[in-house]
Amino acid sequence: MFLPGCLTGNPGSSLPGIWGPPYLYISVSVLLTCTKVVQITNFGSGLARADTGREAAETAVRSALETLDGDADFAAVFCSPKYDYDEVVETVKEVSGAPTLIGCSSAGEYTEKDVEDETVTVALIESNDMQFFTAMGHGIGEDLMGAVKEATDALPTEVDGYPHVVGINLHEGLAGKGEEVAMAAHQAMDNIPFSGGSAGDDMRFEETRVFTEDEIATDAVALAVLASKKPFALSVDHGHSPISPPFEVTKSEGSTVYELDGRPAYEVWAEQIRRDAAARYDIDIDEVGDDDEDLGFLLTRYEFGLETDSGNYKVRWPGPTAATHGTSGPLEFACGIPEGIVFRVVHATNQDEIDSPRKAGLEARERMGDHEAAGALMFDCVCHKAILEDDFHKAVEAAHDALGVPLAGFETYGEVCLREGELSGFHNTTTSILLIPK
Amino acid sequence: MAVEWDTLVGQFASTVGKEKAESMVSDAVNDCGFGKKGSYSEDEALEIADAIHDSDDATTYIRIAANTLKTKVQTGNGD
Repeated sequence: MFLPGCLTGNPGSSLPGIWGPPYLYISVSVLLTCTKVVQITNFGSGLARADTGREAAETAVRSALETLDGDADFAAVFCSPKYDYDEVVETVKEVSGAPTLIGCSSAGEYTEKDVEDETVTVALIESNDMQFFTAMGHGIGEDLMGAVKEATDALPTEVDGYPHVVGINLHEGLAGKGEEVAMAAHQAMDNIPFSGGSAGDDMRFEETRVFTEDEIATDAVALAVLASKKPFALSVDHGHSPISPPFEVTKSEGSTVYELDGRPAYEVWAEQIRRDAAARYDIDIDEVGDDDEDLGFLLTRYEFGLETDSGNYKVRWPGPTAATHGTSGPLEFACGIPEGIVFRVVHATNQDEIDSPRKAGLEARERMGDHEAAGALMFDCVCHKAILEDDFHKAVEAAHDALGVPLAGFETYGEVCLREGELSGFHNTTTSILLIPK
Repeated sequence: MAVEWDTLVGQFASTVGKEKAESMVSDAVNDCGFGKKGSYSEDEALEIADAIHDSDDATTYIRIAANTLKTKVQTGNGD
Protein backbone atom coordinates (compact mmCIF):
# COMPACT_ATOMS: atom_id res chain seq x y z
CA MET A 1 0.00 0.00 0.00
CA PHE A 2 1.37 3.45 -0.77
CA LEU A 3 0.21 7.04 -0.57
CA PRO A 4 1.01 9.24 -3.53
CA GLY A 5 1.51 12.83 -2.54
CA CYS A 6 -2.11 13.96 -2.87
CA LEU A 7 -2.69 15.94 0.26
CA THR A 8 -5.24 18.70 0.03
CA GLY A 9 -6.73 21.03 2.50
CA ASN A 10 -10.27 22.20 2.86
CA PRO A 11 -10.83 23.18 6.46
CA GLY A 12 -14.33 24.26 5.63
CA SER A 13 -15.37 20.84 4.47
CA SER A 14 -17.97 19.01 6.47
CA LEU A 15 -16.20 15.73 5.75
CA PRO A 16 -14.32 14.18 8.63
CA GLY A 17 -10.59 14.62 8.49
CA ILE A 18 -7.37 14.86 10.35
CA TRP A 19 -5.90 18.14 11.57
CA GLY A 20 -2.15 18.50 11.61
CA PRO A 21 0.18 21.43 11.93
CA PRO A 22 0.21 23.89 10.33
CA TYR A 23 -3.31 24.04 9.00
CA LEU A 24 -2.77 20.82 7.15
CA TYR A 25 -6.04 19.02 6.71
CA ILE A 26 -6.29 15.67 5.12
CA SER A 27 -9.85 14.72 4.40
CA VAL A 28 -10.63 11.07 4.83
CA SER A 29 -12.28 10.93 1.45
CA VAL A 30 -9.15 12.28 -0.21
CA LEU A 31 -7.03 9.92 1.83
CA LEU A 32 -9.12 6.99 0.71
CA THR A 33 -9.05 8.19 -2.90
CA CYS A 34 -5.30 8.54 -2.84
CA THR A 35 -4.73 5.27 -1.10
CA LYS A 36 -4.05 2.66 -3.74
CA VAL A 37 -3.15 -1.00 -3.49
CA VAL A 38 -0.51 -1.75 -6.08
CA GLN A 39 -1.63 -5.01 -7.65
CA ILE A 40 1.37 -6.89 -8.74
CA THR A 41 2.68 -10.37 -9.41
CA ASN A 42 6.31 -11.36 -9.02
CA PHE A 43 7.71 -14.56 -10.56
CA GLY A 44 10.98 -16.20 -9.63
CA SER A 45 12.72 -19.28 -11.00
CA GLY A 46 15.44 -21.44 -9.49
CA LEU A 47 17.25 -24.64 -10.38
CA ALA A 48 19.78 -26.66 -8.39
CA ARG A 49 21.49 -30.00 -8.29
CA ALA A 50 22.85 -31.40 -5.01
CA ASP A 51 23.50 -34.57 -3.09
CA THR A 52 20.16 -34.45 -1.31
CA GLY A 53 16.68 -33.27 -2.16
CA ARG A 54 16.71 -30.91 0.79
CA GLU A 55 19.85 -29.15 -0.39
CA ALA A 56 18.73 -28.96 -4.02
CA ALA A 57 15.27 -27.69 -3.09
CA GLU A 58 16.59 -25.08 -0.66
CA THR A 59 19.12 -23.74 -3.17
CA ALA A 60 16.54 -23.60 -5.96
CA VAL A 61 13.97 -21.87 -3.79
CA ARG A 62 16.41 -19.28 -2.42
CA SER A 63 17.41 -18.45 -5.98
CA ALA A 64 13.77 -18.00 -6.99
CA LEU A 65 13.02 -15.89 -3.90
CA GLU A 66 15.52 -13.27 -5.04
CA THR A 67 12.96 -11.75 -7.39
CA LEU A 68 10.14 -11.82 -4.87
CA ASP A 69 9.55 -9.21 -2.17
CA GLY A 70 8.40 -11.71 0.43
CA ASP A 71 7.13 -15.25 0.71
CA ALA A 72 5.68 -17.04 -2.29
CA ASP A 73 1.94 -17.57 -2.66
CA PHE A 74 2.31 -20.47 -5.08
CA ALA A 75 5.06 -22.86 -6.05
CA ALA A 76 5.50 -25.14 -9.07
CA VAL A 77 8.12 -27.87 -8.50
CA PHE A 78 9.76 -30.16 -11.05
CA CYS A 79 11.95 -32.83 -9.53
CA SER A 80 14.29 -35.49 -10.84
CA PRO A 81 13.60 -39.01 -9.48
CA LYS A 82 17.14 -38.85 -8.13
CA TYR A 83 15.69 -37.09 -5.06
CA ASP A 84 13.28 -37.96 -2.27
CA TYR A 85 10.07 -36.26 -3.37
CA ASP A 86 8.72 -35.86 0.18
CA GLU A 87 11.90 -34.13 1.26
CA VAL A 88 11.82 -31.84 -1.77
CA VAL A 89 8.17 -30.81 -1.40
CA GLU A 90 8.49 -30.19 2.34
CA THR A 91 11.60 -28.08 1.81
CA VAL A 92 10.01 -26.02 -0.96
CA LYS A 93 7.00 -25.31 1.24
CA GLU A 94 9.10 -24.46 4.27
CA VAL A 95 11.65 -22.21 2.56
CA SER A 96 9.31 -20.48 0.10
CA GLY A 97 6.39 -20.10 2.47
CA ALA A 98 4.05 -21.08 -0.36
CA PRO A 99 0.76 -22.45 0.96
CA THR A 100 -0.19 -23.95 -2.41
CA LEU A 101 2.02 -26.10 -4.58
CA ILE A 102 1.82 -28.26 -7.68
CA GLY A 103 4.57 -30.33 -9.20
CA CYS A 104 5.76 -33.63 -10.54
CA SER A 105 8.69 -35.88 -11.24
CA SER A 106 10.46 -34.93 -14.43
CA ALA A 107 12.97 -35.95 -17.08
CA GLY A 108 15.17 -32.85 -17.27
CA GLU A 109 14.54 -29.32 -16.05
CA TYR A 110 15.33 -25.73 -17.01
CA THR A 111 14.99 -22.07 -16.21
CA GLU A 112 15.85 -19.04 -18.30
CA LYS A 113 19.39 -19.33 -16.92
CA ASP A 114 20.12 -23.05 -16.91
CA VAL A 115 19.24 -26.30 -18.63
CA GLU A 116 20.18 -29.36 -16.59
CA ASP A 117 19.31 -32.89 -15.63
CA GLU A 118 18.86 -34.31 -12.14
CA THR A 119 17.74 -31.08 -10.53
CA VAL A 120 15.03 -29.59 -8.41
CA THR A 121 13.55 -26.69 -10.36
CA VAL A 122 10.97 -24.30 -9.00
CA ALA A 123 8.81 -21.43 -10.13
CA LEU A 124 7.52 -19.19 -7.35
CA ILE A 125 4.68 -16.71 -7.72
CA GLU A 126 4.03 -13.92 -5.26
CA SER A 127 0.85 -12.02 -6.00
CA ASN A 128 -1.86 -9.91 -4.44
CA ASP A 129 -3.61 -10.15 -7.79
CA MET A 130 -4.18 -13.89 -7.96
CA GLN A 131 -5.72 -16.77 -6.05
CA PHE A 132 -4.40 -20.34 -6.16
CA PHE A 133 -6.07 -23.71 -5.64
CA THR A 134 -4.85 -27.29 -6.00
CA ALA A 135 -6.33 -30.78 -5.86
CA MET A 136 -5.36 -34.40 -6.53
CA GLY A 137 -7.26 -37.24 -8.16
CA HIS A 138 -6.21 -40.89 -7.74
CA GLY A 139 -6.39 -44.06 -9.78
CA ILE A 140 -6.06 -42.92 -13.40
CA GLY A 141 -5.19 -46.42 -14.57
CA GLU A 142 -8.34 -48.05 -13.24
CA ASP A 143 -10.87 -45.21 -13.33
CA LEU A 144 -9.67 -42.19 -15.24
CA MET A 145 -12.96 -40.30 -15.14
CA GLY A 146 -13.29 -40.98 -11.41
CA ALA A 147 -9.77 -39.69 -10.77
CA VAL A 148 -10.39 -36.52 -12.75
CA LYS A 149 -13.74 -35.98 -11.02
CA GLU A 150 -12.10 -36.35 -7.61
CA ALA A 151 -9.71 -33.52 -8.45
CA THR A 152 -12.07 -31.24 -10.35
CA ASP A 153 -14.83 -31.50 -7.72
CA ALA A 154 -12.46 -29.84 -5.27
CA LEU A 155 -11.63 -26.87 -7.50
CA PRO A 156 -13.46 -23.67 -8.47
CA THR A 157 -13.98 -22.68 -12.09
CA GLU A 158 -14.89 -19.12 -11.13
CA VAL A 159 -13.52 -16.90 -8.38
CA ASP A 160 -15.32 -13.68 -7.46
CA GLY A 161 -13.22 -10.67 -8.31
CA TYR A 162 -10.75 -12.68 -10.39
CA PRO A 163 -12.24 -13.01 -13.87
CA HIS A 164 -9.32 -14.77 -15.58
CA VAL A 165 -8.92 -18.44 -14.73
CA VAL A 166 -6.44 -21.04 -15.99
CA GLY A 167 -5.64 -24.59 -14.98
CA ILE A 168 -2.38 -26.51 -14.70
CA ASN A 169 -2.66 -30.26 -15.34
CA LEU A 170 0.20 -32.54 -14.29
CA HIS A 171 -0.57 -36.25 -14.52
CA GLU A 172 0.81 -39.78 -14.46
CA GLY A 173 3.26 -40.04 -17.34
CA LEU A 174 3.24 -43.80 -17.90
CA ALA A 175 -0.48 -44.57 -18.14
CA GLY A 176 -0.71 -43.73 -21.83
CA LYS A 177 -3.81 -41.63 -21.14
CA GLY A 178 -2.58 -38.07 -21.53
CA GLU A 179 -5.21 -37.09 -24.08
CA GLU A 180 -8.02 -38.49 -21.97
CA VAL A 181 -6.84 -36.78 -18.77
CA ALA A 182 -6.38 -33.46 -20.54
CA MET A 183 -9.80 -33.52 -22.18
CA ALA A 184 -11.67 -34.83 -19.15
CA ALA A 185 -10.26 -32.15 -16.82
CA HIS A 186 -10.98 -29.39 -19.34
CA GLN A 187 -14.57 -30.56 -19.79
CA ALA A 188 -15.20 -31.09 -16.08
CA MET A 189 -13.91 -27.60 -15.29
CA ASP A 190 -16.35 -25.82 -17.61
CA ASN A 191 -13.75 -25.70 -20.39
CA ILE A 192 -11.32 -23.36 -18.61
CA PRO A 193 -7.98 -23.30 -20.46
CA PHE A 194 -5.30 -25.70 -19.31
CA SER A 195 -1.55 -25.92 -19.61
CA GLY A 196 0.70 -28.65 -18.27
CA GLY A 197 2.20 -32.01 -19.02
CA SER A 198 2.74 -35.68 -18.27
CA ALA A 199 5.17 -36.38 -15.44
CA GLY A 200 8.52 -37.93 -16.33
CA ASP A 201 11.17 -40.01 -14.57
CA ASP A 202 14.52 -39.35 -16.23
CA MET A 203 13.66 -41.76 -19.08
CA ARG A 204 13.63 -44.74 -16.69
CA PHE A 205 9.97 -45.49 -17.57
CA GLU A 206 9.44 -47.03 -14.12
CA GLU A 207 7.27 -44.67 -12.07
CA THR A 208 6.19 -41.05 -12.17
CA ARG A 209 4.71 -38.95 -9.37
CA VAL A 210 2.65 -35.78 -9.12
CA PHE A 211 2.54 -33.42 -6.14
CA THR A 212 0.34 -30.92 -4.39
CA GLU A 213 1.15 -29.20 -1.11
CA ASP A 214 -0.72 -32.00 0.70
CA GLU A 215 0.29 -35.10 -1.14
CA ILE A 216 2.59 -36.99 -3.49
CA ALA A 217 1.05 -39.77 -5.56
CA THR A 218 1.56 -42.05 -8.51
CA ASP A 219 -1.19 -43.07 -10.95
CA ALA A 220 -2.73 -39.70 -10.25
CA VAL A 221 -3.54 -36.27 -11.63
CA ALA A 222 -2.64 -33.00 -9.88
CA LEU A 223 -4.57 -29.93 -10.92
CA ALA A 224 -4.08 -26.29 -10.03
CA VAL A 225 -6.39 -23.37 -10.71
CA LEU A 226 -4.90 -19.89 -10.95
CA ALA A 227 -7.43 -17.04 -10.85
CA SER A 228 -6.25 -13.56 -11.74
CA LYS A 229 -7.46 -10.02 -12.25
CA LYS A 230 -5.40 -9.92 -15.43
CA PRO A 231 -5.36 -12.35 -18.38
CA PHE A 232 -3.07 -15.33 -18.87
CA ALA A 233 -1.82 -16.49 -22.26
CA LEU A 234 -1.33 -20.06 -23.50
CA SER A 235 0.54 -21.16 -26.59
CA VAL A 236 1.79 -24.34 -28.23
CA ASP A 237 4.00 -25.20 -31.21
CA HIS A 238 6.11 -27.98 -32.72
CA GLY A 239 8.52 -28.16 -35.63
CA HIS A 240 7.42 -31.37 -37.40
CA SER A 241 6.32 -31.82 -41.02
CA PRO A 242 5.02 -34.93 -42.83
CA ILE A 243 7.44 -37.02 -44.88
CA SER A 244 5.24 -39.96 -45.81
CA PRO A 245 1.92 -40.71 -47.45
CA PRO A 246 -1.02 -41.37 -45.12
CA PHE A 247 -1.59 -44.70 -43.34
CA GLU A 248 -4.71 -45.80 -41.53
CA VAL A 249 -4.55 -47.38 -38.08
CA THR A 250 -6.30 -50.65 -38.84
CA LYS A 251 -5.68 -52.45 -35.57
CA SER A 252 -5.05 -50.89 -32.18
CA GLU A 253 -5.85 -51.24 -28.53
CA GLY A 254 -5.42 -48.37 -26.12
CA SER A 255 -2.02 -46.83 -26.80
CA THR A 256 -0.75 -49.81 -28.82
CA VAL A 257 -0.97 -49.72 -32.61
CA TYR A 258 -0.63 -53.21 -34.07
CA GLU A 259 -1.27 -52.52 -37.73
CA LEU A 260 -1.12 -49.70 -40.24
CA ASP A 261 -2.99 -50.37 -43.49
CA GLY A 262 -3.30 -54.01 -42.46
CA ARG A 263 0.45 -54.53 -41.98
CA PRO A 264 2.59 -54.67 -38.82
CA ALA A 265 2.96 -51.07 -37.69
CA TYR A 266 6.69 -51.22 -37.05
CA GLU A 267 7.30 -52.62 -40.52
CA VAL A 268 5.38 -49.76 -42.16
CA TRP A 269 7.23 -47.17 -40.11
CA ALA A 270 10.64 -48.71 -40.86
CA GLU A 271 9.86 -48.79 -44.56
CA GLN A 272 8.94 -45.11 -44.60
CA ILE A 273 12.02 -43.91 -42.76
CA ARG A 274 14.59 -46.27 -44.29
CA ARG A 275 15.97 -43.98 -46.98
CA ASP A 276 15.83 -40.75 -44.96
CA ALA A 277 17.42 -42.34 -41.87
CA ALA A 278 20.28 -43.68 -43.95
CA ALA A 279 20.87 -40.38 -45.73
CA ARG A 280 20.40 -38.09 -42.77
CA TYR A 281 21.76 -40.14 -39.85
CA ASP A 282 23.74 -42.90 -41.58
CA ILE A 283 21.61 -45.54 -39.82
CA ASP A 284 20.41 -48.71 -41.52
CA ILE A 285 17.02 -49.38 -39.91
CA ASP A 286 17.20 -53.03 -40.94
CA GLU A 287 20.28 -53.48 -38.76
CA VAL A 288 18.67 -51.91 -35.67
CA GLY A 289 17.82 -54.42 -32.94
CA ASP A 290 15.58 -54.33 -29.88
CA ASP A 291 18.32 -53.23 -27.49
CA ASP A 292 19.96 -50.88 -29.94
CA GLU A 293 20.14 -47.22 -28.86
CA ASP A 294 19.47 -46.25 -32.45
CA LEU A 295 15.94 -47.61 -32.10
CA GLY A 296 14.98 -45.03 -29.48
CA PHE A 297 16.86 -42.40 -31.44
CA LEU A 298 14.88 -43.06 -34.61
CA LEU A 299 11.50 -43.46 -32.87
CA THR A 300 12.00 -39.95 -31.48
CA ARG A 301 13.07 -38.35 -34.74
CA TYR A 302 10.49 -40.06 -36.95
CA GLU A 303 7.17 -39.72 -35.16
CA PHE A 304 3.60 -39.66 -36.37
CA GLY A 305 1.31 -36.75 -37.12
CA LEU A 306 -2.43 -36.63 -37.47
CA GLU A 307 -3.79 -33.83 -39.57
CA THR A 308 -6.28 -31.84 -37.51
CA ASP A 309 -7.14 -29.23 -40.10
CA SER A 310 -5.62 -28.09 -43.31
CA GLY A 311 -1.87 -28.34 -42.95
CA ASN A 312 -1.80 -28.57 -39.15
CA TYR A 313 -0.58 -31.73 -37.49
CA LYS A 314 -0.73 -32.99 -33.95
CA VAL A 315 2.34 -35.08 -33.16
CA ARG A 316 2.14 -38.53 -31.61
CA TRP A 317 5.36 -40.04 -30.21
CA PRO A 318 5.99 -43.79 -30.64
CA GLY A 319 8.96 -43.60 -28.26
CA PRO A 320 7.66 -46.10 -25.67
CA THR A 321 8.01 -48.79 -28.36
CA ALA A 322 11.70 -49.17 -27.56
CA ALA A 323 10.97 -50.20 -23.96
CA THR A 324 7.92 -52.35 -24.77
CA HIS A 325 7.73 -54.07 -28.15
CA GLY A 326 11.08 -53.29 -29.72
CA THR A 327 11.14 -54.25 -33.39
CA SER A 328 8.60 -57.05 -32.98
CA GLY A 329 5.71 -55.35 -34.73
CA PRO A 330 3.47 -53.07 -32.62
CA LEU A 331 4.16 -49.41 -31.96
CA GLU A 332 3.48 -47.99 -28.50
CA PHE A 333 2.34 -44.41 -27.97
CA ALA A 334 1.93 -42.05 -25.01
CA CYS A 335 -1.84 -41.82 -25.44
CA GLY A 336 -4.74 -43.81 -26.84
CA ILE A 337 -4.79 -44.27 -30.63
CA PRO A 338 -8.17 -45.45 -31.91
CA GLU A 339 -8.57 -47.46 -35.10
CA GLY A 340 -9.40 -45.41 -38.14
CA ILE A 341 -6.98 -42.59 -37.33
CA VAL A 342 -4.86 -41.61 -40.32
CA PHE A 343 -1.19 -41.01 -39.62
CA ARG A 344 1.73 -39.66 -41.57
CA VAL A 345 5.35 -40.08 -40.51
CA VAL A 346 6.68 -36.66 -39.48
CA HIS A 347 10.17 -35.32 -38.95
CA ALA A 348 11.77 -32.09 -37.76
CA THR A 349 15.27 -30.76 -38.35
CA ASN A 350 17.30 -29.48 -35.42
CA GLN A 351 16.64 -25.90 -36.54
CA ASP A 352 12.89 -26.56 -36.65
CA GLU A 353 13.14 -27.80 -33.07
CA ILE A 354 14.88 -24.60 -31.98
CA ASP A 355 12.49 -22.35 -33.90
CA SER A 356 9.29 -23.88 -32.57
CA PRO A 357 9.77 -22.82 -28.91
CA ARG A 358 10.54 -19.33 -30.17
CA LYS A 359 7.28 -19.34 -32.13
CA ALA A 360 5.42 -20.58 -29.08
CA GLY A 361 6.95 -17.77 -27.02
CA LEU A 362 6.02 -15.15 -29.59
CA GLU A 363 2.49 -16.48 -29.80
CA ALA A 364 2.11 -16.30 -26.02
CA ARG A 365 3.27 -12.68 -25.97
CA GLU A 366 0.89 -11.81 -28.78
CA ARG A 367 -2.01 -13.48 -26.99
CA MET A 368 -1.26 -11.46 -23.86
CA GLY A 369 -1.71 -8.25 -25.85
CA ASP A 370 -0.77 -5.06 -24.02
CA HIS A 371 -0.59 -6.69 -20.59
CA GLU A 372 2.79 -7.09 -18.96
CA ALA A 373 4.04 -10.58 -18.15
CA ALA A 374 5.71 -11.69 -14.91
CA GLY A 375 7.00 -15.11 -15.91
CA ALA A 376 6.26 -18.33 -17.73
CA LEU A 377 5.87 -22.03 -17.12
CA MET A 378 7.12 -24.03 -20.06
CA PHE A 379 6.33 -27.69 -20.66
CA ASP A 380 8.58 -29.19 -23.29
CA CYS A 381 8.86 -32.77 -24.48
CA VAL A 382 11.73 -35.14 -23.65
CA CYS A 383 11.81 -35.78 -27.38
CA HIS A 384 12.96 -32.23 -27.92
CA LYS A 385 16.01 -32.85 -25.75
CA ALA A 386 16.59 -36.24 -27.35
CA ILE A 387 16.61 -34.65 -30.80
CA LEU A 388 18.68 -31.57 -29.95
CA GLU A 389 20.96 -33.24 -27.39
CA ASP A 390 23.60 -30.70 -26.31
CA ASP A 391 21.80 -27.99 -28.30
CA PHE A 392 18.59 -28.26 -26.28
CA HIS A 393 19.59 -25.16 -24.35
CA LYS A 394 19.17 -23.24 -27.62
CA ALA A 395 15.48 -24.19 -27.66
CA VAL A 396 14.99 -22.90 -24.10
CA GLU A 397 16.95 -19.75 -24.93
CA ALA A 398 14.84 -19.21 -28.03
CA ALA A 399 11.68 -19.37 -25.93
CA HIS A 400 13.17 -17.03 -23.34
CA ASP A 401 14.26 -14.55 -26.01
CA ALA A 402 10.71 -14.43 -27.33
CA LEU A 403 9.07 -14.24 -23.89
CA GLY A 404 11.48 -11.81 -22.23
CA VAL A 405 10.55 -12.98 -18.73
CA PRO A 406 11.83 -15.59 -16.26
CA LEU A 407 10.70 -19.09 -16.98
CA ALA A 408 10.79 -22.53 -15.38
CA GLY A 409 9.82 -25.88 -16.75
CA PHE A 410 10.54 -29.54 -17.24
CA GLU A 411 10.85 -32.17 -19.93
CA THR A 412 7.59 -34.02 -20.11
CA TYR A 413 6.26 -37.31 -21.44
CA GLY A 414 3.52 -35.30 -23.17
CA GLU A 415 2.31 -31.71 -23.14
CA VAL A 416 -1.07 -30.13 -22.43
CA CYS A 417 -2.39 -26.96 -24.01
CA LEU A 418 -6.14 -26.60 -24.18
CA ARG A 419 -7.43 -23.12 -24.86
CA GLU A 420 -10.96 -21.80 -24.87
CA GLY A 421 -12.94 -23.31 -27.73
CA GLU A 422 -10.55 -26.21 -28.19
CA LEU A 423 -11.64 -29.78 -27.70
CA SER A 424 -8.34 -31.59 -27.61
CA GLY A 425 -5.00 -30.52 -26.22
CA PHE A 426 -2.51 -33.34 -25.67
CA HIS A 427 0.71 -33.06 -27.65
CA ASN A 428 4.08 -34.72 -28.11
CA THR A 429 7.44 -33.23 -29.09
CA THR A 430 5.81 -29.87 -28.61
CA THR A 431 6.38 -26.77 -26.49
CA SER A 432 3.49 -25.63 -24.32
CA ILE A 433 3.76 -22.27 -22.58
CA LEU A 434 1.67 -20.65 -19.83
CA LEU A 435 2.43 -16.93 -19.55
CA ILE A 436 1.64 -15.41 -16.15
CA PRO A 437 0.52 -11.74 -16.03
CA LYS A 438 2.40 -9.13 -14.01
CA MET B 1 -29.43 -23.07 -33.85
CA ALA B 2 -28.08 -24.93 -36.89
CA VAL B 3 -24.83 -26.81 -36.57
CA GLU B 4 -22.76 -26.99 -39.74
CA TRP B 5 -21.33 -30.27 -41.06
CA ASP B 6 -17.85 -28.71 -40.95
CA THR B 7 -18.37 -27.77 -37.31
CA LEU B 8 -19.30 -31.33 -36.38
CA VAL B 9 -16.23 -32.71 -38.14
CA GLY B 10 -14.02 -29.94 -36.79
CA GLN B 11 -14.98 -30.73 -33.20
CA PHE B 12 -13.49 -34.20 -33.51
CA ALA B 13 -10.68 -33.47 -35.97
CA SER B 14 -8.42 -31.99 -33.29
CA THR B 15 -8.74 -35.25 -31.37
CA VAL B 16 -8.70 -37.97 -34.00
CA GLY B 17 -7.57 -36.17 -37.15
CA LYS B 18 -9.74 -34.96 -39.96
CA GLU B 19 -10.06 -38.29 -41.83
CA LYS B 20 -11.27 -40.24 -38.80
CA ALA B 21 -13.51 -37.33 -37.78
CA GLU B 22 -15.20 -37.31 -41.22
CA SER B 23 -15.66 -41.06 -41.05
CA MET B 24 -17.10 -40.95 -37.50
CA VAL B 25 -19.54 -38.17 -38.27
CA SER B 26 -20.60 -39.83 -41.55
CA ASP B 27 -21.31 -43.11 -39.79
CA ALA B 28 -23.23 -41.33 -37.07
CA VAL B 29 -25.45 -39.28 -39.42
CA ASN B 30 -26.23 -42.44 -41.39
CA ASP B 31 -27.04 -44.39 -38.21
CA CYS B 32 -29.38 -41.55 -37.22
CA GLY B 33 -30.99 -41.60 -40.66
CA PHE B 34 -30.16 -37.95 -41.44
CA GLY B 35 -27.75 -38.37 -44.34
CA LYS B 36 -25.01 -35.89 -45.14
CA LYS B 37 -26.20 -32.29 -45.46
CA GLY B 38 -24.81 -28.81 -44.94
CA SER B 39 -26.18 -28.29 -41.47
CA TYR B 40 -28.21 -30.00 -38.77
CA SER B 41 -30.71 -28.76 -36.25
CA GLU B 42 -29.77 -28.61 -32.59
CA ASP B 43 -31.74 -31.79 -31.87
CA GLU B 44 -30.13 -33.59 -34.80
CA ALA B 45 -26.65 -32.49 -33.69
CA LEU B 46 -27.32 -33.82 -30.18
CA GLU B 47 -28.49 -37.12 -31.62
CA ILE B 48 -25.35 -37.33 -33.78
CA ALA B 49 -23.16 -36.67 -30.73
CA ASP B 50 -25.00 -39.42 -28.83
CA ALA B 51 -24.50 -41.84 -31.73
CA ILE B 52 -20.76 -41.14 -31.73
CA HIS B 53 -20.62 -41.48 -27.94
CA ASP B 54 -22.42 -44.82 -28.00
CA SER B 55 -20.61 -46.36 -30.98
CA ASP B 56 -18.79 -49.62 -30.30
CA ASP B 57 -15.36 -48.31 -31.19
CA ALA B 58 -15.63 -45.03 -29.27
CA THR B 59 -12.65 -44.68 -26.98
CA THR B 60 -12.71 -42.70 -23.74
CA TYR B 61 -11.59 -39.50 -25.31
CA ILE B 62 -13.97 -39.80 -28.25
CA ARG B 63 -16.78 -40.09 -25.70
CA ILE B 64 -15.43 -37.05 -23.87
CA ALA B 65 -15.32 -35.14 -27.16
CA ALA B 66 -18.91 -36.15 -27.91
CA ASN B 67 -20.06 -34.94 -24.48
CA THR B 68 -18.24 -31.66 -24.94
CA LEU B 69 -19.91 -31.19 -28.32
CA LYS B 70 -23.31 -31.77 -26.72
CA THR B 71 -22.57 -29.18 -24.05
CA LYS B 72 -21.52 -26.67 -26.69
CA VAL B 73 -24.65 -27.27 -28.76
CA GLN B 74 -26.91 -27.01 -25.71
CA THR B 75 -25.29 -23.78 -24.58
CA GLY B 76 -25.38 -22.27 -28.05
CA ASN B 77 -21.63 -22.46 -28.62
CA GLY B 78 -21.77 -25.16 -31.27
CA ASP B 79 -20.28 -22.98 -34.02
